[in-house]
Amino acid sequence: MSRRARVLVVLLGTSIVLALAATGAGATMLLYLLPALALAVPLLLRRYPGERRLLALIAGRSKPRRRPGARTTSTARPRALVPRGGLLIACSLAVRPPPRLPITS
Amino acid sequence: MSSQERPPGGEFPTRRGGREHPRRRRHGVRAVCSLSAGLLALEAIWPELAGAHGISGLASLPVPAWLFAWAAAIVLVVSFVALSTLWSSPRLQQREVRALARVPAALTPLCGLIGIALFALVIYAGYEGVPYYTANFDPTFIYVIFWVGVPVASVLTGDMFSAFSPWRATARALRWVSRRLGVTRTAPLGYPAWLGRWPVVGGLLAFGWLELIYHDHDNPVTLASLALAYFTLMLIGMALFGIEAWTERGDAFGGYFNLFSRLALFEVRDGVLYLRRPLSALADLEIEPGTVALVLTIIGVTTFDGASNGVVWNTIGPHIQSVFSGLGLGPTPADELSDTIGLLIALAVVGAFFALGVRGMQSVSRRFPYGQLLRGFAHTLVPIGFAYVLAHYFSLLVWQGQAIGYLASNPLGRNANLFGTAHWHINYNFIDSTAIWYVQVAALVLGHVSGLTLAHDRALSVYRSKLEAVRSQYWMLAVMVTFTCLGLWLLSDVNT
Repeated sequence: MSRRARVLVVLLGTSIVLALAATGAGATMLLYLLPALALAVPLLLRRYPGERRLLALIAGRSKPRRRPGARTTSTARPRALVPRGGLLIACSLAVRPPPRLPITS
Repeated sequence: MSSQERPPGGEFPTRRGGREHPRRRRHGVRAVCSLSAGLLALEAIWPELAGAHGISGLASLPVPAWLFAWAAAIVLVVSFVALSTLWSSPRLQQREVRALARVPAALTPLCGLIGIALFALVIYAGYEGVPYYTANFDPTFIYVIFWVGVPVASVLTGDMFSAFSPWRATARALRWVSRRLGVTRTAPLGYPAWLGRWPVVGGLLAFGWLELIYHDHDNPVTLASLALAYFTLMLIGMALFGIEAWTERGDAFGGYFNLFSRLALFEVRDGVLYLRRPLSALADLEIEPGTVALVLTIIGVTTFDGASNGVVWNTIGPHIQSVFSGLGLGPTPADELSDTIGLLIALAVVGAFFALGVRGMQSVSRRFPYGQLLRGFAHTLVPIGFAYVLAHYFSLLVWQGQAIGYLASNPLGRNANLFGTAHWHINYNFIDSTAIWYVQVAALVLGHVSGLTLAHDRALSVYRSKLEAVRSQYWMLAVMVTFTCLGLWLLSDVNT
């Protein structure tokens, strides 16, 4: 954070504290402003609480999601298991055919 | 019919959204809306659940009022998380409208006539009516119906004031007559770009000062004279710079109401009524010189109005007043001067909070200069400004606003009964103070969630990486939580 911003923070903080001290409304106003302070103090210290978890959540949501119940199916085309070319001729001429093609390759 | 227009984008190299699947986008928006609504409902129910835990602060509330500030902060934090995770691409930067109906051509002159008639009544009642603010039509009409009711109506219906504006209607009527007589003239001067919205800022400050600080602010004669002076000023401005150019930027009230009307779902353009996406008209706001000052002035003036009735200013104010009295000023000028200083302090504090948030955003990425970020995110304060106005003046509107019923029948306060409603009175049981408090809290929370949504959407279109966008929004979240807590403290400080 720049020097001017720090000066701004100091001025703002000092004036609020002085106003509260002068009026005696400090405790009540502090209770109201506590959530704002709880957020502002880590930010002024350059800390972003919960940032990693938030980014993980964002990353998790940006991945394409699979519909529940959808079956996983192979997109590869089924291979034809019929003999072709030279093997077809060999099969037709052979007395004892060559060994069968494996089911998967 | 659906049409898309490119917004006047501002200064950022914006990233347009719309690549996501529309159904998924709707799911995201719905999830954010339902989450926010659920939390609001929970917050409204919570005091009832925690009713046994003791009472302090507001007499009619079962829990201390400061707990509402904590609950509101939680709502904002949850909204921030929901927006970050569910709203992954900019959706408001592109304007989408749908035509609903054609507006009858006779409606605009009719509204203009009503506006002129009401203005004439204000002038007549001011000079001829009794000089008591409760019995005369003017103070209630100007400070309640005009100053508070028109912004609320603008948010609900769109920019209705531009149709009712008496000075605009008069200028348009004069133009029509001169054209009929064969006289056509164009505006001799172009509206200077450097002037931007500064006349609106000046006008709002002057009206705020009149309402909150000037000792004779509810004198009907003063109000009528000031209204006449303003009317003349507007006619001169429109004669010099053109009717529409001056109405949009030079007319303080026109500019103020137009800003709030951007929260509405409806807009009328070229005689056609359009439906638009919520908040999209604000993302479209042209950031001219004075725009940042305008939104800060709206919040600052309302802040001072709240603070001036609270314990802090009632302790500090008399000390400043005694300094001026010591310099030889009378009690009235000393009081007015000390309150003027209070107004300036309120403006400075509000401006400092926003400036601090923007400085923090600047620390996230050095690509954007401070001024550019300040202007680029100024529109996010508009819903907050309206939330402050509604929360602060809601009780005035629902209670004192009823007075217009009998004042309409007896505007001069001289025992007339024009519409048979002169015997009406204000029903204070119409809504109780507890319900008012809940409305105020809901208005503040909704306003700040809307501001956060606008800031998130702008951040997505501005920053290159998710990390920068998320970090920048931590700062905006801090600004929104601060304004929410401040607003609730001011309200409770007045009510207790």
